[in-house]
Amino acid sequence: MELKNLLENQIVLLKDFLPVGVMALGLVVLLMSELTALKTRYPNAFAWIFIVFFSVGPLFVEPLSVLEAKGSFNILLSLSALVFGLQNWSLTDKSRQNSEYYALVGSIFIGAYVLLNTSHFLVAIIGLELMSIPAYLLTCWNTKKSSYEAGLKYFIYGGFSTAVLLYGVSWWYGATGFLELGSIEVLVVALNQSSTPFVLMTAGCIVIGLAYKIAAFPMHFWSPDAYQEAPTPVVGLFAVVPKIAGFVFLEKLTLVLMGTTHWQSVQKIYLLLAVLSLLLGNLAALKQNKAKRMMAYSSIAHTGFMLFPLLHASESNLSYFHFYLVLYAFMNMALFLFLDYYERKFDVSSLVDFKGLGSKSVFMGVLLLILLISLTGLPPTGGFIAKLLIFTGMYEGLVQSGDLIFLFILILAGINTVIALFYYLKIPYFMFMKKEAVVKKINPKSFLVVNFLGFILVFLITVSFFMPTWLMGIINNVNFVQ
Amino acid sequence: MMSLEPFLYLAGFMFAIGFAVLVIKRNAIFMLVGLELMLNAVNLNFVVFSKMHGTVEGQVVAVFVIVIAACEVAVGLAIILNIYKHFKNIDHHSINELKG
Repeated sequence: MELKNLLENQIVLLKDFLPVGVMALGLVVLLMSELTALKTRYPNAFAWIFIVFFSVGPLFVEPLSVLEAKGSFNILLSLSALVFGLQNWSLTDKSRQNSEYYALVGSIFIGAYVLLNTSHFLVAIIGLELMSIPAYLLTCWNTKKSSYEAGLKYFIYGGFSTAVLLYGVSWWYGATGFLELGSIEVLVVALNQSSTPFVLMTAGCIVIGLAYKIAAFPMHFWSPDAYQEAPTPVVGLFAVVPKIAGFVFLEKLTLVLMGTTHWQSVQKIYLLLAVLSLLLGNLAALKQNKAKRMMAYSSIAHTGFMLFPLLHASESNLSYFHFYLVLYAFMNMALFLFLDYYERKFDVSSLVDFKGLGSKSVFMGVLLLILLISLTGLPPTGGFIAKLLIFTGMYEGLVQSGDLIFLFILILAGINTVIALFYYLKIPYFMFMKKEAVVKKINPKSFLVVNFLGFILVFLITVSFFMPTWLMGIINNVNFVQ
Repeated sequence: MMSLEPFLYLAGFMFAIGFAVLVIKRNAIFMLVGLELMLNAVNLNFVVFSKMHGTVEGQVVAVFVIVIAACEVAVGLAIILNIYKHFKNIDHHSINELKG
């Protein structure tokens, strides 16, 4: 009888990891199919396998009712995998018709899934490493001199931040005796017994370790180089997948720290990270001339923006935070889809290459314009609503706590939105206002799938401006933190 | 039984040395050594706290950290090897094609 109970418990436990099992099976299938003649017969086979095992599969084994209880960010992961698969599906580029390419990307998805659905430090660290180690290799994927350099930088910063994170976790374990973040009350009591400098050191180490994954200020140096050198669809993943997972885990950590008596001082770490990422991201983006590099700095600035609601993590503020995170994911998926399209169709890499492309492909040009307006945070796009909600949350913080920090944040964020306008609109400026200098070669292939995907994503972003309650309703129905 | 506190000081010292090596050394392999030292300091910390609390969780983490460190070194050495192929040295000050 006892054995039966034990087995049943184990099966319930395993059920939670079924999607991970499907993805791991996908990895095996991908690597095995390299040995067969599949590649020569069907050049797109790997992309299909990827979509089946990493996008459809996890959703299929995990029915929607379970997802609703756990968090719809899993759906976002599946969506991101689908976009990635379809984006690579139409490719004839030899370097991407390779099972290792998909297997490495798949490993990033497994890591993100693990990190999203855990509140245990050990599992989170394994998830983080599952995301980082393939990311170092994917950065080097183009096998150019400069891509190895970017890979090395990414690797050194990654290794350093892992070590710092682990050191913080070890002290956390020492102070509380737990590696699980689930039981908040117990942890709060244990942390309250420690001195403030100690908690500050521990939390600081952990937050800085996570800051590397979400590309926040002190650990952001890798991101412009990695974004510039990695293959563009992979950059789209770097900007979305680890960031969602990292932020959700950071939120779980924040909910524990918030209850302690040390929150006043720990809050300063968050404030410092947020303000400096926002300022540095926006100011550095102004002087970039490479498109992907500029977008790397823009995503650092967005990270800064997303850290603000965590300073005053009330219930409404957290739902604003989720709203921003979902929209950020959509916008960046779409953004790198477009950059990949322009790169492959018109061989564009720096901003001046966009000259006169507006008349060449009006449809994609207009969509990209809408998308960039959304990234800046102006109406009529979802980006405006997302920014507005963050401002509302900060105002609530100001009223409720009377802390002048929130007033300072409001002013700073307002100024930064204006700065962002200057660099985001550089691309449409070159596209529509400038005549093309030299006729460049155009890839004659059709990009129907990419066009369609881009349209859908931009459509969703625009819809969320007119019906924000719709998206907000979905987000509020879901309990993100178990 | 002897006090466990000295081990924590030792771990902190190792972590600091690892960090110093990572920052000061220009050779990429030495930077890797610094990283390893930092990770081993973490292991020591986990084992000590595991002993203090009387739970095995910390020791399990230490085993996983060893595995993670091994994976990281494997990938890191592969990248460094290719760096050497392209740049003809592994001094990270001279590896600066990307700027901005």
